[in-house]
Amino acid sequence: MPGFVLKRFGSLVLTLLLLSLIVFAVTQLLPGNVAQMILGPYASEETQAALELQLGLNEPLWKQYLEWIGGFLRGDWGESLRLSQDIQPILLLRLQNSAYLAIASLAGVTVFGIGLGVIAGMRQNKPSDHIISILAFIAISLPAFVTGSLLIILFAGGVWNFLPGSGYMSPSEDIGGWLLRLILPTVTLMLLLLAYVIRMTRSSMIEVLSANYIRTARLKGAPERVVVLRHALRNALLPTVTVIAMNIGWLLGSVVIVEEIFSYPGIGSLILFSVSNRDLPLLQASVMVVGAITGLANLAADIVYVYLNPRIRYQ
Amino acid sequence: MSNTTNIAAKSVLSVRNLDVTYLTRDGAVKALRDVSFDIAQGETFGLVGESGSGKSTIALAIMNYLGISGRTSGVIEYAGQDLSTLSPKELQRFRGAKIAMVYQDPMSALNPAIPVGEQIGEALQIHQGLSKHEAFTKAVDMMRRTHIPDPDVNAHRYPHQLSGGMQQRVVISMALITNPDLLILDEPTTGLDVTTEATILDLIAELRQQFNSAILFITHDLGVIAQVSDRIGVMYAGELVETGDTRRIFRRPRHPYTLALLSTAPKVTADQLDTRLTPIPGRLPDLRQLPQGCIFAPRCQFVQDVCREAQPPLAATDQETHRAACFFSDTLPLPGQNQAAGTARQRKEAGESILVADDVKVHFRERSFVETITRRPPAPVRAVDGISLTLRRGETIGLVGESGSGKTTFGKALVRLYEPSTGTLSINGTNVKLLSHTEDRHIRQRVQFIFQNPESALNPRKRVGHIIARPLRLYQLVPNSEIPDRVAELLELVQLRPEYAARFPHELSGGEKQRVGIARAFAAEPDIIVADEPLSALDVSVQASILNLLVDLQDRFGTAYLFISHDLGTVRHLCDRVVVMYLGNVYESGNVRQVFAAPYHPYTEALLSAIPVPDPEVSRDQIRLEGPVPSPRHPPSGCKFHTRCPRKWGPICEQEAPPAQEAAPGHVIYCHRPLDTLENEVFARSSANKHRKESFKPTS
Repeated sequence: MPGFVLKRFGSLVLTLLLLSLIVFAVTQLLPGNVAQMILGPYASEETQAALELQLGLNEPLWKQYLEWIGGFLRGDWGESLRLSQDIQPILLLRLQNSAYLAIASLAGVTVFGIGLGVIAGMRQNKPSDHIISILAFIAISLPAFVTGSLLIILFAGGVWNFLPGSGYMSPSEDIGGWLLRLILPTVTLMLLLLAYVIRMTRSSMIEVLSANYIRTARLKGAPERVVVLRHALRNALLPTVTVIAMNIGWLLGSVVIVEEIFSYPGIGSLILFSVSNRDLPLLQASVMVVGAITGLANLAADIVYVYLNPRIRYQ
Repeated sequence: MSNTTNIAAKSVLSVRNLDVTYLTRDGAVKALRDVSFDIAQGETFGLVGESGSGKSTIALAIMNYLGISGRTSGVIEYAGQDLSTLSPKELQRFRGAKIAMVYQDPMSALNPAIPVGEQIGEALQIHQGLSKHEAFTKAVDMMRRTHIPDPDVNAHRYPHQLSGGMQQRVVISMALITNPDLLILDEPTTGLDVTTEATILDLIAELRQQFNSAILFITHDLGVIAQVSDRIGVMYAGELVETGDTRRIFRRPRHPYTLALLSTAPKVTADQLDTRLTPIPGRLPDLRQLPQGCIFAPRCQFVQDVCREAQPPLAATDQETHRAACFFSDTLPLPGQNQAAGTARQRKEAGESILVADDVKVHFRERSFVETITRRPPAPVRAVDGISLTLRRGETIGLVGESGSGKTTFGKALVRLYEPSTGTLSINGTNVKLLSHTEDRHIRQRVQFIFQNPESALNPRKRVGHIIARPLRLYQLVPNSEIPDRVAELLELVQLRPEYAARFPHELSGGEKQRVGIARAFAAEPDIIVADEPLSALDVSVQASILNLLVDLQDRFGTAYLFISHDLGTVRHLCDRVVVMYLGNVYESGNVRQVFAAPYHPYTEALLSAIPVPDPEVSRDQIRLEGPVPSPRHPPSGCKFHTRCPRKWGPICEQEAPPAQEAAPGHVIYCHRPLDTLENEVFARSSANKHRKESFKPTS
């Protein structure tokens, strides 16, 4: 087990290294001169040259890269060009906000997705299965900006008006307000993944329930509750865990859209801001952080998978 | 009738007039019809039949686990209660507690995610309210009783960490832990190696003494059923056609089907070596549209007009407890008397050598993670570790050994699905390694393959005609215009009607599919055919006809066979020479008469004595191999068999590879033991010779 974790961690480090190279290369390829961007179109060539010298833009690329990645690893993420502030505190705050959103929707997806999937799988081809499956299909066919807008119309003004449709409140300020403002973006984000997880859990549940070891458990006299919870669920969850884990990165991508719809100050809207304002240091740092988190999430998923599947655990 | 009620009084389980019907989209399948039997306490009742006979349906009907499409009528009475009328809640009290079951394929019957000790103990938690810890402790005790080594350690293991034999011991422990009144064993040894099967059968025999359960033992294997049961029921197409005392049924079968089953399988003990087998013609009737009259009439060699009109009842024969569903049960011949005359097989002299393998090794190199990091060369999996053999035209060599012995890998190396790592392989005198592309293609045509499982060896989307025409087109053996005629000829060759060319594989029975596989192999006009367990997926009644077909084709075309099999009876019947493999090496080789007679290599002896003989009066032999075959990645030093050898000679076995000893011209035994000590260990199977039961354990 520790060997396995170490191995996966090693490949994670390698992945992030590659990611940093790509991020660095892409920002180099972007049109426009950084110094010019900072100083505006009317700066003289001398000031521009002076700034380039100050920022180290004349150095060879490999040196610039090493400087940047070294600083990043030491926690010196640089200063935002547009906000003229240290990136780290802004980024961490935004990250925290997005984390609330992501964790809440992941938790929701896990609980509801697995729960509904198990119910659908146990009642294959019965009305409850059909209802769950159809609703899941509808949810999967609607893009986030549609469901988001629909939810706003339904619950935040148009039809009923009991949930805030946008904005953010920090939990230290007002925990109730914080929770209320989390609900709609969380649900929007959840709906995207929920259908996948339900379908996956349903089909693997059906497969597992027809396995011989389930027959063994039933013919042992085990009550249905024990058969499902103890014998079936653990084996049925394996593919589901993979699906959830594989989609964590995708979820973080969708955060960008959802945060925009609900004007939610998270890392998604920060990335959007940095792109539209050509704030390269901010963009680089944000992408690296998101990449690291995606990688760590996948690592965590692998560990859960191995815990669930003893066949991998002891190889 | 008074006798039957008498039995019912003492019986644990009483099945009366059981009918089971499955409702399918294509109509109602009458899987069981009017089945009645009793099992008394401490008694083992064996149900024997081929696939489709409904024997497993009986087990599931008793457990009331037929699924939503199954309908039962009749009475299944256990301790005065009709099990088929119980509610699901009430059923749970019986399942596992009073009636327990052991399944075929233990790997799939065990939950992969729960340690085996917990799975064994679970029934105690459910039925006796024990705590998890108490149940686990009892599970460990139970594992000790089923001779699982280191039960304290193994109880914490997961199923995939145990060998097949150990897994089945776990399943048996799981069934016995509640001390059930009725134990149902459904093909408990099918799919296990013959050596493992023998140890599991020993265990069952031992547990029969200790536990006083009634046992329902279900199998297709006459040898197994003869060894374990007190009484037997023979099933055919959903009906019980004969039932009675085991010895009596084997000595004096009173139903033509039983008689046919007993005479159809090649036996390892048969007195005559070269008699032609008598297959059972035809196939199982369609259980949706049952023929009028006797169910076996269409395939029966003794059929009369009355058999096609009226259904014979399961009536007492000359003995009250021996019943058979045949109008002519009192006039049937005895086994051995119904061999058709003039069927002796002529063995021809083998021709020139066409395949020479010289020290062929096939090693697989898979790097483990550690080996990738440390760049240490990986330990290869030595699947085939130096095999030399010569195959002559018109000859059949049998390749035998347990699974993991490397026999299939060697067979695949011959058709060049694997390239030998070292050693040379010459076909028709040409070294296959040094070939140009076209020559290579030509050589590949000379060697064809018949696969073990005809289900997966035929492309389900292609018609039979297309499948057989493949080699014709590939090697351009006939002009395109003549392909349909040639396909028809080939179909005729394997005794299929020409219209089969238009059918898809799923429309064929298992035996017919294997015939298509054979036709495809012969289509290439090969010199050599490698047949990898071509019979193991087929029923006994079909095996005989396929064996006869292989013999006929060989006589006609002079094709050489390399016949890979674990079934020594078949090997003895079909083959001229036998090569015994263990962990990638040859340990004995010689002609059939030599290998199947003393002196034996200890491994051959163990293999032979493990085979269950379909004769209840033969005592079971004494040599048992414990444990699984070691890993071919790290094979034992010296003689690879020394870790399991019951006749280990001394420390030399661990140090040096065994020398070749020639017992007779052409008969080579690789063993450190002097030949005369192997000579002494006579392997005798006559019914007069009652062996003292003696258990050999591995010396490790």
